[in-house]
Amino acid sequence: MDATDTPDVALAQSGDESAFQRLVERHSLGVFQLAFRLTGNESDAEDVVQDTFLKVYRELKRFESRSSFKTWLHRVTVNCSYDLLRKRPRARLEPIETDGGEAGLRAEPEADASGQPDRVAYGSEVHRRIEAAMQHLSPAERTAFVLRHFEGRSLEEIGEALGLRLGATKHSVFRAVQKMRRALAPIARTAEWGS
Amino acid sequence: MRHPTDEQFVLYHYGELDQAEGAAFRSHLGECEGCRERLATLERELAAVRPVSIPERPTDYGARVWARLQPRLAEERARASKAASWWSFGAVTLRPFAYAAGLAVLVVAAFVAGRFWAPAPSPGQVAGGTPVSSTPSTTAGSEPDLAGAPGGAADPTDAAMAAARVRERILALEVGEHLERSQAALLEVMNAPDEDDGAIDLSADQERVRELVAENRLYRLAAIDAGESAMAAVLDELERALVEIANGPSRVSGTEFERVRGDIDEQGLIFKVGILGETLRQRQAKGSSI
Ligand SMILES: [Zn+2]
Repeated sequence: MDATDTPDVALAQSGDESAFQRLVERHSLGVFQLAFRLTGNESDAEDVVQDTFLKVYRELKRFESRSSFKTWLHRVTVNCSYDLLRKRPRARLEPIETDGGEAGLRAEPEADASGQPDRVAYGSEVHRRIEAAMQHLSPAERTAFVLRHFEGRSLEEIGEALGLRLGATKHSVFRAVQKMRRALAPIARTAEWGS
Repeated sequence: MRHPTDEQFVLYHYGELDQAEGAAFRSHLGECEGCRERLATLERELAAVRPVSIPERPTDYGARVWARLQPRLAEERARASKAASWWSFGAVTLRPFAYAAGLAVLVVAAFVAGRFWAPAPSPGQVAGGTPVSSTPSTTAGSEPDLAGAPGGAADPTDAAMAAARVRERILALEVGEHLERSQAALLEVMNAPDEDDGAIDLSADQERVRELVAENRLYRLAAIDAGESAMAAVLDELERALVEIANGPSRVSGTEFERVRGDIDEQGLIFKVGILGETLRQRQAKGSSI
């Protein structure tokens, strides 16, 4: 990937727009996928794709071709997603239900006619709770968690991309994990059969 | 026995404990049944947190992204050639900015200059250079006279001198207030709290600072016109700092921010702005020059 990028980056830096177009077309999907992970929302991810390439265009001259274009692009994507998360109102601030008392929600998987728990319903309940918990993470928590847990990035790398100190990055991941666990707690005791 | 903290469990899971901590953690696990169970529970729970599926994109997605992006690149080129950001490049490129405002600003500045910056004429002499209206005004703030307005043949009367002094005081008052607002804004930026992630969010301050830049530009041009070089110099420095803040990213990392803070500090800018403000307050009281 990067071997292909190097000549196009050099051309784009000297003002060749078709070279820049090749870079955009080559990496759009990857940028979208990462942005979707980070924002959890299709239209936000599309906005991030645009913002990212615009920022890359703006700062291309300062990019030093010694480093990997893809790594840099990844970082800009993280930055733009993070900015967007920070601007996005965190609408639902009511706490996620952490006890079994909430109306209409299953704290236990339902049993089907044969007395077996409904695995599909359980799976979607886990999914729903994870989604809800993700919505409640702060931008830093969400970004750090997605990058560490789903993307397997090192904390050091995450901290660099977000402009956070290592301690702050560690703490963000930790708080995110705590929130996820709290959200999953009501159904955790049935997790054994689910795995 | 000291059990590891929840945070250490999480960091261990992700392989992010440093060597010594990791070794201590493992040796504790070897002798603590409870912590082995805690770890097993954590890993089971985190294993359940799987990524959501990502929506498909069309096969020509890259081309679609480009089609949407391309017009914005043209705008970007136009914008970039107009004003290179001091923030980004560390170069002082204030001028294009001042010119961008164009003739309108100059006209307004001339108006402001004519209205406020007329030196107090000495007896037997008309106000030199800058046009001054001879109409004395009781309500100085809503004075209707315009610089260069016809019929401005000022007589060296007491009334004209009094009017000039009033104008000077109004200017001192206005610039003084502007400086106070700027000082407050700079102090707020200097003391902007780090967020829990170590970065600084300036978006709220920037809104305010943008207004101050526009205001400052008028006063600076007026000061230059009036030959008030000390005031113009401070306003010039102030404007650079304000422009840097206004045009910078709304969110900066701690490191970037330290640099800006350092720049403001190094120039002793807040101090100078404060001094000038104080001088103007005195001048407003006495009607003397800086
Ligand atoms: Zn233990």
